[in-house]
Amino acid sequence: MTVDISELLGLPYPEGDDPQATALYMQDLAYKLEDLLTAVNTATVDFNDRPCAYWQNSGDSMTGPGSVDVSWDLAAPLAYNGSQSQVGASALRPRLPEAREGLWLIGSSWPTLIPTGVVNVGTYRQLRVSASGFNGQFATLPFMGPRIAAFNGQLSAPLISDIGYESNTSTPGTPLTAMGLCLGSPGALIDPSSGSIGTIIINLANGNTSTGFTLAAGSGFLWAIWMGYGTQQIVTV
Amino acid sequence: MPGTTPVWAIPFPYIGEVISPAAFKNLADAVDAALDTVSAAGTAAANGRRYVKLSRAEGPDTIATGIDTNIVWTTQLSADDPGAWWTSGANIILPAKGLYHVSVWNGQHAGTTTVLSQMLRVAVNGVFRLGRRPYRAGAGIAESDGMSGLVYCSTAGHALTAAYRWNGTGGPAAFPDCGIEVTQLVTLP
Repeated sequence: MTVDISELLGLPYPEGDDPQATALYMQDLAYKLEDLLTAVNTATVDFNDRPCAYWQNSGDSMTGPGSVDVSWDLAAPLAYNGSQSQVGASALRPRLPEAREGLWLIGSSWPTLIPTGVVNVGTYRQLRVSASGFNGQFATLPFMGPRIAAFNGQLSAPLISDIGYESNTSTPGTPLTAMGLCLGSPGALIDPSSGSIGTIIINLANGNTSTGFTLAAGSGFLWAIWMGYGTQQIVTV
Repeated sequence: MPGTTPVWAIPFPYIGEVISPAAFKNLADAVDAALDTVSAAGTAAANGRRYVKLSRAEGPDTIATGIDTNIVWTTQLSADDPGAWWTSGANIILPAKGLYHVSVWNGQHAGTTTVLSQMLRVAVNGVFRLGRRPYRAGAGIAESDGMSGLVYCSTAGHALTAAYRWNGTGGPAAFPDCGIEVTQLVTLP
């Protein structure tokens, strides 16, 4: 009784004329097909079941001038799909929802800023967001920097007058409206075998010399979603 | 009595059993059914990024300064949305709970004296999630602009809308030409 296998997929087939070989062949074939189908199906499901997270800021406050790392409500994400626990993670530095190699789409939108004092229009121009990338393997990857730099000069006096304040001051406690910022589609490859856990940091700076801001909870979002397996070690956006 | 594999239930005869033509047919049918399942999942993975891409032309409707106005879409440029996310009007109906990628852009508008800033915002179920407000420093017109980002939809059937606003003097402005793309990235349970 002999059973041989095909070269490419290793599918078994009977060799010679042993009458029992056919039964053994079919059994081997069935299990080999089982393994192949399971492998293909697992890969497909893996791709459809994307790890992702969508957090909202948890209501930071900031003085002026100064900056703050935005904290995120890790305990109550709007969306979360992944095996990576956030228990014990810093609210300032969420972990990726899963330590999976591949291309991650990461971005953030501006929170609603509520002035805690009088806003001096003339100095309200250094609001910015930056992200320091991932701890570990890409600890200093400044993947959002250039885009932010280009945005800095766009926030000045008209930001205030836009919402109805024609003078150089605004009323404390009045939201400055939700400002969205397109952070593009930065991505980085995470190698889980290195033991590193990707974390994300968003920094909000305030150049106003006379007031601070509260970041309204329920506005300003941070997202991370796995987009697929990469074919390069590093993707430059 | 043949055996079967534990996951895909592929039948096989035990040694000593009489192997009839039906045994081969059953094996073929089982493989066929399994491949059909895997193929459907593979197709979903390859084509699962459902989307809609819409536009509207400039004016003739107008918009006064300082007013958020939902963009009413008029033309479907392309789509892969079997659920008909959009048929007319300003609402794009999101088909499932999950995350969606949104790109929205506007062209220049005319009819203004000065423009201090312009703003695009995207809302889901009436709650603004993304926005962008470029500063134009008193230019005569609002320039082309755009942004992209992710939004979260908590319930199937929520409407995604985009609003445009300008601030300055003169006007009312001719409503600018605008476009939007919404792509489903992931469905969540």
